[in-house]
Amino acid sequence: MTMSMENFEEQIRNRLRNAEVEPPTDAWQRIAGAMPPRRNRTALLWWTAGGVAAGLTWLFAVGGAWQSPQTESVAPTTMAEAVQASAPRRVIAPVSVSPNQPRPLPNRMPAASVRPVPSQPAVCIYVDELEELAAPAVPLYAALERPALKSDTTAPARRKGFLRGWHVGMGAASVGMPSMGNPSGDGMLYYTNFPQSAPDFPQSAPERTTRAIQPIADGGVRHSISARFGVAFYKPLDDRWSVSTGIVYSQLVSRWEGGIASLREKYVQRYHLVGVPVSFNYRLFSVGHLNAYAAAGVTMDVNVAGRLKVDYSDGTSARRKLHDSCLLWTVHGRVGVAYPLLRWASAYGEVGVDNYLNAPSMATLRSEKKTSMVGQLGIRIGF
Amino acid sequence: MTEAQLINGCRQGKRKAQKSLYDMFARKMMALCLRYCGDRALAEDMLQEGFIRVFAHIGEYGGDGAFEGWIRRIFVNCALTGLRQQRAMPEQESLESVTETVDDGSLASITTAELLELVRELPPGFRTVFNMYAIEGYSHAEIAEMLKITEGASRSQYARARLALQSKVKRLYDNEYGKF
Repeated sequence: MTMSMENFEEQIRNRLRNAEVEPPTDAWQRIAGAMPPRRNRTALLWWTAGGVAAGLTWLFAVGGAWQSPQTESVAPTTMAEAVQASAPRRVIAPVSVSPNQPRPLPNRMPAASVRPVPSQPAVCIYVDELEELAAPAVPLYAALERPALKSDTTAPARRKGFLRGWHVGMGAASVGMPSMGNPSGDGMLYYTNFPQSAPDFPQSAPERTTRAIQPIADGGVRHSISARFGVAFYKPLDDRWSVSTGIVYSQLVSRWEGGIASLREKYVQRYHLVGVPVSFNYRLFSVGHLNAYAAAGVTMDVNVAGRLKVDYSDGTSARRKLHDSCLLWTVHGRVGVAYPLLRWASAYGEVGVDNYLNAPSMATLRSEKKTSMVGQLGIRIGF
Repeated sequence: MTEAQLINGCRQGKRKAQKSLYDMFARKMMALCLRYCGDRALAEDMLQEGFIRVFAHIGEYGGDGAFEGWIRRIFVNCALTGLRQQRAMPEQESLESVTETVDDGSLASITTAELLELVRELPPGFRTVFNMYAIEGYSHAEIAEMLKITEGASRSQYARARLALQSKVKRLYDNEYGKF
């Protein structure tokens, strides 16, 4: 029995319209890999991202100003005449003088730290000259960077630009968990006793030395990573895996107190590090536009600058540059979430653990703790 | 997960929803791509391109009409674009005059896979018009507009395609089944 054309077409339609053919096994991977990152279409998120960037900028600007050198410092007024009368002028290490004990002589000169101010000759004090003076009732200190004297009306106090040094662009920030170094106060070296030890000045750091040091301040040394800032780039490898790198700035900050009981000195040591992290990221799951991921990798940090600042209880302060040229290696693990802002950029926040493989020679958070909790916010740029 | 939930998830860019939607339609769309393309590699490329377009434009689906129909239209357009790039669009092709008719048993005897193969063996122009008219249900006017040909050319191409397919069905049936 022959079939009409209509029946033929209908049979063909019914059978072919619902026909199914197995696609290639890697078809979905190819599709997912070829799809562009999801985009944020809301203006609110744009404003949020802008606000975060502006906030980070502000934070770093303030941070930079806070740690920028302030040349206006004050020496004890009672020493003004003696200091001005002393000649020739030369910068020496600080000397603590106690009326009841012999004054120690400085055994080393921090030559790299001698920086006379051209327009205002540095104050020079010979120790022996000081000894020739009537013994003051208070310890004597001479700052490396010559402090202006309160009584010196011919030398008006100078204040350098409030915002100095490094500032910011866009990037990431993190706050590390603070650490308390040597809280038991075993006297191994986190506490210094200047009158007893005749130290170099400024005390270069809470160094791990075995010289006679007595704990005089409670609380030990506080270490923290105050900030982390940088730009990251990532490259998707497939639907779930990506590799990221970038450049990250961070600070290792340590604070402690020293000095004799009646005159405390407050020390703030800052190491500025620039690092290159390399991470492999794995997308765990997605909720809306948010992608949750886990990451692990290695960071190599280099110390690019450092500074030790000492604030004395009599109002003077001094600073010294620090540098440690060794490479610092860190293994890190993170979990975080990322939110796409553009096709090529996403904001992210993550928390995790840093495991320090080595530490600088000076005592820092890295030398105190093998691991540290880290949180980080930022923007990634894809390519 | 219902179809509406899947669509919503895809609109939000959820990868899981996209994967589920892919799983739901991938086989049918692969068959569709194969019907339009003689070459399997090209069909696989069309499948990929089609789903990327679906996910990119899913926000434009207004809910009027079947979702599968909306997806099919995207894949047909995608296939036509691919064929245009391959310069495999309908044209006047010589075809031996076929007047045979097939009986009820011959079409029922061959499998769907064999039928699909027979469609794929049609010349590109015939195949495109046949797919669009007989299977997708486009009118000749719509086909003429989409393929930039005249409506008469569409009718002619379709008539020739149908006869060619009938001839192929009959030949296959005679060779494989008619001997028994």
